[in-house]
Amino acid sequence: MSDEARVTAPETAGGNGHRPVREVEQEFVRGHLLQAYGCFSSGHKFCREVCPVYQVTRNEQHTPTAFHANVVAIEKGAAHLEDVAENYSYCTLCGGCELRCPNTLFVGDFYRNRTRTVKLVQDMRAAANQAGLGLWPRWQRWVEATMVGKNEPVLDYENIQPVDPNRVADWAKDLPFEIPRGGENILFVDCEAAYYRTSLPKAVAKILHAAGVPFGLMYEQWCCGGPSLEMGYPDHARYLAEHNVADWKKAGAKRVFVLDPHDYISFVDMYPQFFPEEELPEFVFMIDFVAELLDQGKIRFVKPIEKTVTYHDPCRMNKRLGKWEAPRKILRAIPGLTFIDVDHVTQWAYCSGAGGGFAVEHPDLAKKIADLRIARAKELNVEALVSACPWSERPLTSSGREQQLEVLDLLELVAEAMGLND
Amino acid sequence: MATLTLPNPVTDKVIAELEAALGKDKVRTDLGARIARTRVPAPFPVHRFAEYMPDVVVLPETAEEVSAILRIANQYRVPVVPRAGGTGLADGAVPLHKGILLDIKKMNKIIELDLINRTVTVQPGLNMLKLNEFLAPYGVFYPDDPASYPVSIIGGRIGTSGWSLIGSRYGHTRDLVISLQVVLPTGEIVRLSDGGGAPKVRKASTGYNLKQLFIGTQGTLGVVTEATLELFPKPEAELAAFFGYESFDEAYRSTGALSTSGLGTLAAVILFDERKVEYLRRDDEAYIPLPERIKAVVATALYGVEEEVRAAANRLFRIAKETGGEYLGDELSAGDWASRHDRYATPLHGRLPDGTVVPMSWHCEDAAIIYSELPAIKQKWHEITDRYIRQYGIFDNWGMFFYSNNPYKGWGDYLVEIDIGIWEQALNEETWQAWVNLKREITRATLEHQGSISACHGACREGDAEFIPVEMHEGGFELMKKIKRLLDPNNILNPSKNYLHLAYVDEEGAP
Amino acid sequence: MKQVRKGVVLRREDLHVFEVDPALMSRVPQDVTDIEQARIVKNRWEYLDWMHRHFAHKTVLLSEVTAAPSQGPGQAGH
Repeated sequence: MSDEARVTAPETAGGNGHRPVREVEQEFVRGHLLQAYGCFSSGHKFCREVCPVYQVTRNEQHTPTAFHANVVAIEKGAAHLEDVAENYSYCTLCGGCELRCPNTLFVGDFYRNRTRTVKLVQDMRAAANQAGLGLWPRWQRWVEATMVGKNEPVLDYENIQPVDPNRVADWAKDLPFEIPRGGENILFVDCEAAYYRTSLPKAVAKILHAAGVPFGLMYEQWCCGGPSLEMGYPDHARYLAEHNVADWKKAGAKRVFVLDPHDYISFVDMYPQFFPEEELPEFVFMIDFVAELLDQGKIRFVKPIEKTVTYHDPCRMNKRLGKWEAPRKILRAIPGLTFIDVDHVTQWAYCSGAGGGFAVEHPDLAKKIADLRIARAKELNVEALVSACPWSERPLTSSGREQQLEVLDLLELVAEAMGLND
Repeated sequence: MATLTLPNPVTDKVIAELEAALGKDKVRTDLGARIARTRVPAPFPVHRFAEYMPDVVVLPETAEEVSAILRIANQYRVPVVPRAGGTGLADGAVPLHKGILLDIKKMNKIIELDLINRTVTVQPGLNMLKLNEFLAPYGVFYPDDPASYPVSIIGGRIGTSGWSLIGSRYGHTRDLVISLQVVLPTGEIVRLSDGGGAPKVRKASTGYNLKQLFIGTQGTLGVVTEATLELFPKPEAELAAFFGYESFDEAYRSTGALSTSGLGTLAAVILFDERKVEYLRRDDEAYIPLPERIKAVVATALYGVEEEVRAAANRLFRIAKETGGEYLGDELSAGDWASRHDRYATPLHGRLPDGTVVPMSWHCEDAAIIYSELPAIKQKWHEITDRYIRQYGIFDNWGMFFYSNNPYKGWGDYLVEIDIGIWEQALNEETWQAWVNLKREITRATLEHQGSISACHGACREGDAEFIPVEMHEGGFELMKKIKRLLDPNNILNPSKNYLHLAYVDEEGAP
Repeated sequence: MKQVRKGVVLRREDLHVFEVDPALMSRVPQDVTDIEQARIVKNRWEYLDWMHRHFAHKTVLLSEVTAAPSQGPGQAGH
């Protein structure tokens, strides 16, 4: 166990320490009522056809507007928290709804107030867990296993067994060069990539190495904490985050390269809520960095890739952070590649189903979302769908196999085009 | 007071039969399912939230399942309220007597695209934006464009006889539906077209034109389960031009000149009054910089083949200029036109009398009024609204729009809209009743000026509905009641909407 | 912060985004950061372009076809 952890692990996710449900309910309603009226009173529901979960359930209770209406219903005594909380698991936290909401898109800048449905859903999940409602046993096990393995239990979705924390950097073992520990530039490798899609961190290490960018790994990398927050366990998220921040401090990190959108949004959205900005290093999303290196002529594509592809915008980058230009620029620069683009606004309505713990709690619906995404790519008559998010790539690859469509990772494709796999 | 037979409640036996017919996963009694289908965007008596919650929600996927639901409801005489997108502005989908909420959103399949005969046949739960994304690669387009375009669905458009922002070029919902499959309240499934039964024929003189009878019924006569729709070529070119005027009267005359211009590509003429412009200057970034001398605005849009649009733009500009219009620029024109779905429904437009921002619900009055009466209606509606604002302080006047209201032409009657904000969080029974009275006064003014209570939302709400018998006093309402009784003998389908509970009162000789 | 008209201010000249006078926001929190605000403005323009393309193959502007000025009254450069 790391001696850097400044807090002890919170009690197991389903442990004691629950608060009375009415108390949790009152606090929740107080905190969200104004936002809820902002949605409930307008009632236009422009979020609905954008929502990936609604698109496969077509059930109005799994929509952002329903999530807000419930808060008003509780306030008016028409329901209690425990009557409606379960619905809040039907969300991938992709953020498409709150972006598409006219309250954000059309007047959010004028009033400097916008719809925040992602936060509403996360807070309801946390409230339900705090009240001990026991609605989501798989999330509970997932977070418990994360506490044991210090990383998410990505190797066993079925039984949710912890990973071995000592193997978090095993992916780097057979690289032709050594990666040091610590240093000013740290490569943070997400749980899914470190344990499951190990081809991705290898590709990223090769790219950085080839570009002559010095970098190291953390002494002991833990999960970023984002999924724990998304599953309604903010204390556990903070516990993991504190460790990582301490590790970076020990490493002397000034810059952290991030290869996964879910980590990236944890670092730029959640960490600043826990720590003062000056305690945090700069976070650099690898795709942006590759585009920059390309501009500066520090990397070059030497190997043509003769394929027709389309691109999947990772939700957290496109919908929540507005980052969609760099990956398109990279794809257009790869020789031999025919890139059929679906614009990023159309993709506000696209998702892989993998985010926000959705695939852990609702695997069947998550599969339907992935199937739909692959079917949309198939309509373009392409040979492959390129993504830039390792979490999306597992379900998309699986649906792609069924529908005969290859799924590629953008950074892996970059390494290939740079001739680093030869 | 007439004695009404109240509908029966939903019992466990009814639910068991629904589950047997549909499967358990399509029958939901949990509060989450019911709360989500309680209101529509129209102002809602939130202090009486629970009164409008349905007892059970059903999610059918086929006409046969809809038929099974209606047969069960008929047997047990429990109400069924059809719900499509739930974006209507007149409460058509709000349950007045609880009962079974029939949500059609799962019925969203595209059944057949016929590019030879230019039709697409769909289930009614499909959204228009999604349909057009599907159609785009084929170069065709379904031009039904309400403000709720990104989310509302075809079944609801048919149920309300919707109005389209570009209807003056392409027609409105009723003009775009070629034929329908409908499940009657007693469970029979029928195919209806423009006379006769040929599903893709647009114009026939065979038999009665029964299709139109089922458009705009607010789900009181049947449930649409399939529709064959008209396809147009996707427009080559779009041009939006907004003009400013120094007085409303000038803008009103210009509206008349533009809408009678005879331009075939003219899709919309929209007049904004002084209060609307004032309101937009309050919080719409496009209008904030407009100089004070601009008091009224006329918006126009052209769609069609590029050569036609370019030629029409010249004529349009000349008419606007000659009638006192000043072009408001490319950015405002194109940007505000593309904002047409979103711009007017954001709750933070709401202001208390001291200017403080609060989230308000949006009431959109939608009477149909002939051109000659527009100035008088404008004056009356504002006078009524301002009086209530002064008295109660929880309403906000967002000004008026006058939209060209007719298919394939700009002239005739106009969809007249006054937008009023309502601070729902502060509602109680007294202020709710005040709101209903405000509505009643507006409706009376409409009828005094030979208008119709609703151009497109429907007249289902309190404050509207009780005036349907007044508007239709020359025998129309009597005929409506007979038709309702004939098709729905047990009054199960969306009971009490359109004031049709009266259809079952006089039959029994009550009171 | 510049008062543009009653109830409207210009806080960020760089972005030229109008804002409600914060004095009117006593009941609603203003918690959108500058980064989020810029993102909203950018997203809106991208969305409006998308909506034009969705409804027609081409957007023609009145100033391209007639003698109408491209900029309207009150706009910069008019």
